[in-house]
Amino acid sequence: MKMIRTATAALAVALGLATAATAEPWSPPADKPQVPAGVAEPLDLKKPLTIYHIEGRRSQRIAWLAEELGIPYNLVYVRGDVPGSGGIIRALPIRISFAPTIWENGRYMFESGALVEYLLAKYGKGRLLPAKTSPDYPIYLNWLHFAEGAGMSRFYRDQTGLDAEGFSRFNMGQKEGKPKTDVSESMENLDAMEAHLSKYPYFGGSQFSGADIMMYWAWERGVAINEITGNPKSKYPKVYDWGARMEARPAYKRTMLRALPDNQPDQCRVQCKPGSSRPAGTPPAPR
Amino acid sequence: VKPLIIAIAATALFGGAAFTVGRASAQTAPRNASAAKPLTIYLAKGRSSLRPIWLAEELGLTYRTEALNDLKTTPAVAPLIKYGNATLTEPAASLAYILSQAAPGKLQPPAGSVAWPDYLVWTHFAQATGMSRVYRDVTRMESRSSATYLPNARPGGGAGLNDTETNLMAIEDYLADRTFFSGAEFGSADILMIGFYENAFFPGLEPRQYARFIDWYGRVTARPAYKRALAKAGPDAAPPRAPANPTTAR
Repeated sequence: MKMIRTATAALAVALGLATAATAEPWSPPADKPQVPAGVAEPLDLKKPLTIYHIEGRRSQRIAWLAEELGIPYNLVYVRGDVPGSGGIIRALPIRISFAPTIWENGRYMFESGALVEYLLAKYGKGRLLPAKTSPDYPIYLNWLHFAEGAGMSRFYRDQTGLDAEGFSRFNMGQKEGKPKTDVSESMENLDAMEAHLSKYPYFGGSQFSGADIMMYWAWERGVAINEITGNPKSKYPKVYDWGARMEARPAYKRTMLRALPDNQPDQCRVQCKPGSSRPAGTPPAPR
Repeated sequence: VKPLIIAIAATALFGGAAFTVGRASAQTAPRNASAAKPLTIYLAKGRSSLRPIWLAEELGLTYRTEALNDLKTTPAVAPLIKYGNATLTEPAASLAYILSQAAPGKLQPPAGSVAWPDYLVWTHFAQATGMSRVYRDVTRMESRSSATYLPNARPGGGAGLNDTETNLMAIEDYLADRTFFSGAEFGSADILMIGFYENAFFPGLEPRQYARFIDWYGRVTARPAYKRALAKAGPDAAPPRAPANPTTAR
């Protein structure tokens, strides 16, 4: 009897360990990405990466990263239909619905900072990432996390307040008066970005990196708040110069043509502004 | 004889797994990681400096703490650690940097392992998707003068794909067959997720629906290193009771 109990315990330990070592990832495996009819692009199963996208959302980052690294990717979204693109993500067999979600190597994964780290480790071959021994490495890590840490949490909250007052980033210059929302923490973010870019050309230090890709989406919100509250661009020259350099990158331009083809004014900082340097593109798409 | 064979098989499995983990970790180590550099962890009112202190206590690293009494900025962009010549402000970046330099391969699953993508997700989720939804939910409650939680995930898709409630439900699913946010073993993702835990339980949410998350919190805060860290960090590291002003909880 004792022997049987011992055997059972040992077996349980063995099985338990085997389970721990071979457990399925949290997101359930799927041999191919789930894609409904009516999406903007046909699905090519030979491509290793599928990105679930909503126009003007964080999924743009992952498409940009794939363009920079040359990873062939499917971009799944419904053109001109933000709720429709969101509905595709909501229908996936995953626990947290978010753009970006990717399908890669037989599983779904989300969280843009984690995706940047994952895809750089797997496909980067050392590109867009300083070596762990480089003095740039802590700088890279800090801005990689700042983008959705101090960065977006404060830009997002302040913009929510501005939106409630009618000062959305989509009608800049159209509403008179000055907003009452306290945007001091957003300004503090921009101060920190300006101070950094006064010393380094990129958020990852001396080289363009995944930290810049993470920061651009936050940058768009930050400079919008700067302008909504009536500050001149000259208050943050390095910040604006960095943004212009990002938008001049060929991979960024390719990304925007594919991921925001209609340049919808409700999702694009630059297009909605009079005198934009960005190509005018198509007329505003109705919501 | 049979039990002995099974026991040996179990030991072999266990030993094999441990060996694989150790080898994989060693391969990711930077070559000059042996020389530990001075680590300073800054304490500021309104900031939980507990996370890097807890990490240092788990790793047995030597560190000193320094109170920042005259902050020129708000805590969110103030220095959190200084390691060697590098100063970092972001909690997740601070932990990742300390691990990469002082303890490569420790408190994280090996790169390329099954648990690794999930570990990456949670290390970012804690301050990103997790806390950003907490902030938005607070703003929404304040703008509607609501003392209790208002759901904000929209069934039709679009921008409101998730909120704190759906994030909590997803975490509960994850913990159904996982012990830690870092995988089968405790790691730095667990240290980071404590910030989300301490802000996520809005009045009006039913804690009993999130028993696994609460159980996880009990297990990780029972660790001796957590208790040592709490004592070292002092009152500023005390967990906030309610997410009245989550921006102070960074």
